[in-house]
Amino acid sequence: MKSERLLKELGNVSEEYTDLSQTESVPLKKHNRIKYITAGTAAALAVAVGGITLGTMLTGQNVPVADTSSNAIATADESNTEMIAEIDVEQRDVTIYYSEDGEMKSITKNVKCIPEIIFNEWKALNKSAGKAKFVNCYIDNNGTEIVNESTVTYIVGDKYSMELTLSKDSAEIFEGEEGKALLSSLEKTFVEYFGNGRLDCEFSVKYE
Amino acid sequence: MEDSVIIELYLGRDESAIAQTQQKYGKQCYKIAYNILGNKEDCEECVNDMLVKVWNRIPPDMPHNLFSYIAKMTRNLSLNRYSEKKAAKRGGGQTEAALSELEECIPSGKSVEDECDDNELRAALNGFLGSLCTEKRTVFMQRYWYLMPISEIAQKHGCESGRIKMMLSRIRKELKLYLEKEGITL
Repeated sequence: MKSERLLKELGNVSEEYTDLSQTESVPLKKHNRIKYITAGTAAALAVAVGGITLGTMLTGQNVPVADTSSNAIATADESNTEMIAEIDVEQRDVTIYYSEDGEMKSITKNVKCIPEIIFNEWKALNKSAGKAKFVNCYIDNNGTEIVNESTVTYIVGDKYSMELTLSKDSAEIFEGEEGKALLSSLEKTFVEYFGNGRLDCEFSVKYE
Repeated sequence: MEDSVIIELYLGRDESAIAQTQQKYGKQCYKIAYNILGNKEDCEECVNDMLVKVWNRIPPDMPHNLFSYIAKMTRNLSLNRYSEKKAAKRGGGQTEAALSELEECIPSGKSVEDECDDNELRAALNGFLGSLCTEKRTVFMQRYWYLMPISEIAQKHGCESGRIKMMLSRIRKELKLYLEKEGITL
């Protein structure tokens, strides 16, 4: 029976995943639906004022959650990813770049427009990126938020910057010539999609 | 007692190693066996078999993580016993439910010739687990490695069973896609 084989082989996975400490009680992150609705509503209002369609925001470049106070758009830490996944984020064609034999190549994939998912697609194509782990992605478009008694207005700005946070041990994969090419493929993938293809989008990676 | 001290006892062929292992990890191993077999007598036998097996294997084995080592052994022994019981039409524990759930993860296969070998499958499973966030991986392992009942997992995480079921369902879909992407055929 195939599922029996799968169950048995699961028993032989790396010890790092079977350690007892890995399976102790972990309170699951709470879904902050109210926060999402508030942020979503604010974004919808902002879109109306800014003359941009809501579809563009939800399905593509900016997934609006949390931190509306800093005019920034934080995307996809783990809880956010799950939260966003629950509202059926649209799947779209995304160009994923990868480095192979010193050459930059690309492939277009139809995936959910969530930074973590796109990062994992990039990782799967770049074999030397095996160690890299996504932590979060922070996108700021230098917009402004105007709050009055009954409405929140968000006007999308004209300068994009993007900060991708990866796990500490991810840093070493970007060392050397091969690492530079790898980083370049990551930047191209993210800037082209989340930065609206703007070449002046500032891209940075930090590790924690 | 520290694991390293227990391992030293095994290496020195000191029989108290068995008692120390049972005292420290006996309950957890019993739980693993119980989740699979759901029968007290069978579980006790599995744990005893595991203790004998550990005694015979260390040395030459030098486990890096004693708990993982014996838990894996208990799991394998229990699954073997489950298969024997199933052949004799005596089911038990969470295994049937877990197997039926895992059916959803089987990639659409082509032919027997395309079947991947165990090493490929293991590498793909490791890759998949590595791609999951800690929260999801913990829940997945609790269900399909430790064969814990969903209600117990929910209790451990302080949430409703429905949320765990939903989470597992999503992870299974992700696993299927991952295996297909890796070209794994079972």
